[in-house]
Amino acid sequence: MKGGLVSLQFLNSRLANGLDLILTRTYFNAAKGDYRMECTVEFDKQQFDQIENILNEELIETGVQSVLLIDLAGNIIVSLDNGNINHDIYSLAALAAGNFGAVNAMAKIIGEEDFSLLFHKGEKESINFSKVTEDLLLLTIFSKDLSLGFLRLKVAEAIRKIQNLI
Amino acid sequence: MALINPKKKEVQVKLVYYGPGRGGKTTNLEYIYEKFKKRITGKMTTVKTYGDRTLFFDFLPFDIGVIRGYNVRMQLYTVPGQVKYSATRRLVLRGVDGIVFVADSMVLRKKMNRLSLKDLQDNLATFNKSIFKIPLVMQYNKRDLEKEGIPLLSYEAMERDLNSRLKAPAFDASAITGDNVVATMKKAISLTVASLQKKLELRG
Repeated sequence: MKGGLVSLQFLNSRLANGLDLILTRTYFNAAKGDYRMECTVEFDKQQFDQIENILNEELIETGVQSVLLIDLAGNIIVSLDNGNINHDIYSLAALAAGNFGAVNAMAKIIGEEDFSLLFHKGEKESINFSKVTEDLLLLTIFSKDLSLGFLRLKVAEAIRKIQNLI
Repeated sequence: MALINPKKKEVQVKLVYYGPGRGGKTTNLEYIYEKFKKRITGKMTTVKTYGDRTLFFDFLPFDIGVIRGYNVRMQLYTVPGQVKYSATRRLVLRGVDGIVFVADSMVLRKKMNRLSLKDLQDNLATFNKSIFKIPLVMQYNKRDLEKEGIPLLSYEAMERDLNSRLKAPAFDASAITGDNVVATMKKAISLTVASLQKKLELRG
């Protein structure tokens, strides 16, 4: 309980910066305090390391600009890049999760379980979406120097290795 | 569904602003963004239609500090309020950890509030979540319109109408002037974070 209060005060000091409202100890007596938060994935540190290694070896070293492993709630699980880009990855993840959900909903309307290829082609950069599990999605951002066919092979290999881990 | 990353010592938590169309959900986020701009590292992302209405969602990432050694990142979302966008609202609700229900206090909008709350309950149920169990804060918005002589329902009437069974914390507010916008958000964060804290304690 004491630890909770310390972190509450910390949270409060962060939020109260320039504001006149103070969080009270009702924090601990919250009517909904018995609500148990659920988590998308329960990976440990070692699994994170292994997933990062797979994505690095299979994709970044192959010439991919950036890789994001996200959940369908829009949270980022792993993000890697080649060091030459600076995207707003949090917005990208939120939009990608929504986009993937929307496309899947469209598939169901026309009687498909899902669409196996989801790919946006740009003049210089393109994005490939691949489902890893029911909840996880892999986003790959790559330039025109890399062929889509080769990229899909490498993505499939990375996904197979990740699936073996989780 | 929060995401806990023990490697980066980071937690991502999803807070969704729900409610009827033209109720002020986007205005809430815009006010928060303006108010905390200097401390918000990301940008506010909006997907809007031609008529300046939210088509998909608004998104605002917001670091709130460290809890039990984990940096906590709140991801604030709004949903499109219009009735016809129910499928999109369901998509945005996926993985939600806490909800702010932004109700419109205008007498004319009474029915829309109820419909939207029922829609929220139904959409949560598709993810096996109960509106009675998820961290929820009610906001009775547009109180500033009282001064302009527009008929509004009183706080008590709004409570009777929407919150008699839910008994969630509730605030009168005006998103356009910013009145109680931050208080609403803080309450929602504290309820949501309380459940996160339990989760982190269990992890040890």
